[in-house]
Amino acid sequence: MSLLPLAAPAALFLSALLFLTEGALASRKAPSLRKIHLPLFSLLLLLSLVPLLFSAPESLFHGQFLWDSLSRCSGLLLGFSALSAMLLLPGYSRKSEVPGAETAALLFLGNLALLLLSSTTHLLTALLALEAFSFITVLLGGILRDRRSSEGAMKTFFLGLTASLFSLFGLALLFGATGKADIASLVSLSPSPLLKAGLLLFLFSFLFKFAMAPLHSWAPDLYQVAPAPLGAYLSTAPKVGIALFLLRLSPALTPLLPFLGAFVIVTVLWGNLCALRQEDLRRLAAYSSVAHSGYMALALLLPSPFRGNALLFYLTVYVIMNLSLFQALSLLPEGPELSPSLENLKGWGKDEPWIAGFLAFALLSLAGFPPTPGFLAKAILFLPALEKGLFLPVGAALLGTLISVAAYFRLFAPIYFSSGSTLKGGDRRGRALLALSSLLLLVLTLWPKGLTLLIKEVFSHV
Amino acid sequence: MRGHALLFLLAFPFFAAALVLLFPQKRRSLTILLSFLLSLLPFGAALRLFFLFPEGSTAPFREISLPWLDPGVPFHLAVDSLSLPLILLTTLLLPITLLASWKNPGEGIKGFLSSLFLLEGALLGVFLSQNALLFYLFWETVLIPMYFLIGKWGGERRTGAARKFLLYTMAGSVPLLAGILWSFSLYGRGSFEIALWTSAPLLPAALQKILFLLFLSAFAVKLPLFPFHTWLPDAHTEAPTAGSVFLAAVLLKMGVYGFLRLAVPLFPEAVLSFRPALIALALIGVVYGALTAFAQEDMKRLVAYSSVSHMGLIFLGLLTLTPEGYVGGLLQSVNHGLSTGALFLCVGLLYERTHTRLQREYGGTAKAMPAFNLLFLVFLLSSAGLPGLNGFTGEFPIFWALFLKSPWLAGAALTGTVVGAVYLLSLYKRVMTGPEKSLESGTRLLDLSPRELLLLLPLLLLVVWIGLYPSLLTKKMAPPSYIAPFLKEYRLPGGIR
Repeated sequence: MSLLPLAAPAALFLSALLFLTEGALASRKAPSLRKIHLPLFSLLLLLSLVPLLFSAPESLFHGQFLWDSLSRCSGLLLGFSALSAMLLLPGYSRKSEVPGAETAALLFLGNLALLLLSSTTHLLTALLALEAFSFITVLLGGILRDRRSSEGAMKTFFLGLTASLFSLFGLALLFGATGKADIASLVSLSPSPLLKAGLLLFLFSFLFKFAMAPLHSWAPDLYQVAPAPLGAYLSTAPKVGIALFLLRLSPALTPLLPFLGAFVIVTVLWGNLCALRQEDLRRLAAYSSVAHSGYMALALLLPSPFRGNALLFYLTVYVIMNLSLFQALSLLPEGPELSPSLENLKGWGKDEPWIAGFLAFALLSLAGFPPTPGFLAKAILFLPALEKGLFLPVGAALLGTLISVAAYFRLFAPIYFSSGSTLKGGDRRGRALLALSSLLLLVLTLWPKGLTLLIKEVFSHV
Repeated sequence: MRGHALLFLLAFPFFAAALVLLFPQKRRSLTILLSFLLSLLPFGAALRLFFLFPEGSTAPFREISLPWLDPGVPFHLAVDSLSLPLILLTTLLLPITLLASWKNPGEGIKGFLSSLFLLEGALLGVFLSQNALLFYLFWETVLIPMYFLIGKWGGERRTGAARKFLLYTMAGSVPLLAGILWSFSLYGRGSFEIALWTSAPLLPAALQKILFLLFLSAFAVKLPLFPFHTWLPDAHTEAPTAGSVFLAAVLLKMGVYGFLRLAVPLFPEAVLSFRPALIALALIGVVYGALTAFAQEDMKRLVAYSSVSHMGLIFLGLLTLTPEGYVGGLLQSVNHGLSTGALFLCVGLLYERTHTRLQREYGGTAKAMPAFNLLFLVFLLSSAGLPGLNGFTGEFPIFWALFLKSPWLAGAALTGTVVGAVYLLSLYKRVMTGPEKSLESGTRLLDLSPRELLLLLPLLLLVVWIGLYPSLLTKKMAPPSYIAPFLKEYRLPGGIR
């Protein structure tokens, strides 16, 4: 048995240790070293995963850890998300209140937990990884440690704890009913009521963390109080880990498809409707991410070859466009009592034409406007869903898309149609990162075939 | 491959939209002049296409298909006798509206010009696409530059009007997307190619009906069909002159085009079964639009409501599903684009001088602006359908087709035209004749400048030319092969024809 596949998790763990040590040793006044090696280190890590992308899958510890091309994809997306958070932090308006080394350590540990989650075929490991990440969610979300962020973090913590108890109970039922807790054996068993109930309860915590309505109520509170750079991470990374785990679990979910369908319908409608009413930009982004969870969950209802293709395409596009959105938002100044709202975007189009253009592009893509990648992701998703006859979820998703257009276009009015004093924040790094995300979106717009080919390659190696 | 002309025609506006952003912001006139020169290129290409297009041809011309997303979604462009006049209209109007924008948008001129080029490119994409997904893609892309044109450079209530425009059209086009995706799975050929769909056996009648309604929702909003027209007066009124011209002249024709290109050939049985209801709605639009226009004090709103009425008549003509109705409807689409576009330009010119669009603020303008007076009168009469001008050549075949189908129908639709003549002439009377109002305020209105003459004269020329010699267009407007089978000739009992 080769332990080589463990290299990536080990590297994540060791980096986290490194940063923890540094955080403990370094005085608060010497951040210069951190500034340079933080992003570089993670960039190297990200790149080191790429050559390993397409090789034969390897399974360790009886399937507890499966290192295949899907896990590598997950590593890449998670790496991009964490990298984005780290590059944004130096330009963040309240950076003096964010402990740099500890945040970096938490981001690496978070990626470790999510990488494990997306690389396991065992339900117990999955639940443990998810729980590990939920602690990191709370710590990252409340890292500013003022009253508001502590409140948001605590809400998330207690609600999350309740949700995981359901999952634990579900796992117990499953194990009691079958004596097994790995995905392969769950698929082979004929569905009994006990099995169904167990699976449904087990899913509870996953749907909660995935922010599916009506289990989403923590998300707006947490995203609003988390620093915007960490909001970028918290709104993308967990979706990657959970979505890919659910993709692995999906063959076992066949008896639960109607339940999932109901969740999809409620989520796409409720998320978009709530986004329509928000004044606070990060709450708006939170509800938008809730709605996008619904679209991704719709992919799980599809038959096999389409399921993975649609989900991975949507997930990749979602990560890029949502990071763009948060990268733009993190250029706005924040304060203990100040949360950026629509008003703060006034005059951007005139004073910051490039930043405004990038943000507009991301918004169009989030709204699913053709020819942006957001549209293609939806087309690739809706087409097989209609062929399978999922009229109700697709209808709801289309209606949700319509509502979301109204929601996202509310941002255009202050940006382009009114002038005002612009509050500027952020630094060059953040701007460059936003430009990079937009460039990626542009490449996907002009050459979407590249991504579809890549995804095909991924699934030919699973 | 000879289809490269189409590729140029489609790609050039997008290229120009990017190029304009590099022009100097400070030197406003130079920027506009350069974009004007740029905009002549697509017009030239379209004109060349028009002259090369064989008379009476019903087949796609200058086809080009490049591999794109998927084997089922190639980048497939072609021009046919249905899209040709609309392409010509689109490319003709861009240089004219650019000339008209010399003073109009206050700030951000580069963004304004760039949006207009984007709009042209997207519109050409709609008319050129031979693939349903590509068609939808351009259909939606049209919204974005238009949204910004209204919202950023529009009148006082621009933000609300832009949002209303966006939401209405989106509400129409989301069902269209559902319909296109569903059709893809129903035709089961793994392709979005429209030609493959139209050549496939017709779908069962019940399915046709559902899909037709999904498709129609997009076309009805664009047309606009009563009662989906309520976005139109706001958008037309609040948009800057260039935006109003494009909205009225071309965006509304997207509904006509979509109906003929997709709805009729794919769902003919559904069209027939919904026809009575559609005729009733179109008729209501004709009369209601005309009466509402009569009641407007704001000149731009008046022209906007007259569009509702005229578009209703065009749709009535198409709904007869006869060769006469088809040719009349399509010809009138072009005519309406020319004359309503010209009217919006005229109102825009007056507004630039006085900063008001209310009729009561004007009077005796004819004395101050004799050249303008002549042009304005011709365009008003053309819109009212005076024989000898272009409006008549389009309306006549429509009424002929309506009359053959049912004299009552023709009579009812005629009331729209009668009221039309009333409100258009009363507009003329109130604004142009009587004592000179501008003298009271101490300023005298200036007559048209050479630039303004230059932008109105091509329209005048076409209005008269088509009025005297409509075959100029109609000989290249034979119903394409995918529509021809569904057009039925009516004959009078006495065999007059």
